[in-house]
Amino acid sequence: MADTGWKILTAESATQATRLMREKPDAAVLDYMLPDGNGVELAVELLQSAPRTQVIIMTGTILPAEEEALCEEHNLPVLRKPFLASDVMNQIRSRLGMQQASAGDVEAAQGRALKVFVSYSHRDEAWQKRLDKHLSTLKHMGIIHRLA
Amino acid sequence: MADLILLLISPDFLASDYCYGKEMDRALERHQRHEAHVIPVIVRPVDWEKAPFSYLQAVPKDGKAITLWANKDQALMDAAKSIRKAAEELSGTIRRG
Repeated sequence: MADTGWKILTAESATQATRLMREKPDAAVLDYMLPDGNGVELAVELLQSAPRTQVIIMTGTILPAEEEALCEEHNLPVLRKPFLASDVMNQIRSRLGMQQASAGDVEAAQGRALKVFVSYSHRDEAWQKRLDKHLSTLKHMGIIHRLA
Repeated sequence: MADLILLLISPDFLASDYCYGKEMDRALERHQRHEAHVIPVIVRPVDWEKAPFSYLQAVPKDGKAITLWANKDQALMDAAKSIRKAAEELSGTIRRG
């Protein structure tokens, strides 16, 4: 991948990867099995601080159901080994292309995003916040706009 | 004005004069006039079978309260998916005032 012109940073652990994410890379390719954690949980954590980074998971094993669900929820593509370096590059190009397209879509959709109001008792505020996190993708995609 | 209204249902919601008496009534009126779409999100177990919103499609699946699911994030994800589907369907159907 060195001849792609991309600046490539590498990490050997979740701890190192977390440090590198401060650079807000355009894309991150994470192995599921990491010496100090699992790539899917790390991806979800990293997306909190860098939501525009396109994260791709690679794995040589079958992901547990919970991790599969997280990948689906956060729209994380999973590359299953064996694969070629060109597969990774194509996936990155495709995701970055989609991101550029979706940035335009989001801008266009801002005006027509549905306004959402949540009615709740103050005792359920913690649940409202948790649900809000699960709806964040819809906000990023410009499908909904949360009313205060 | 909201297009999509989520009611987080719990014993406290049903006991609240403001939530139950004002916000919910207003939401259901707007739902009936097709000005907004209301989705009850069952957060904590409570008997809501005879509540005024019981005819609406509640989430998560089968109207099972989120706190009763073994995995709460799974329940929230299920609710969020249903809300997404409703939002996508609504995008072209809500009458904008």
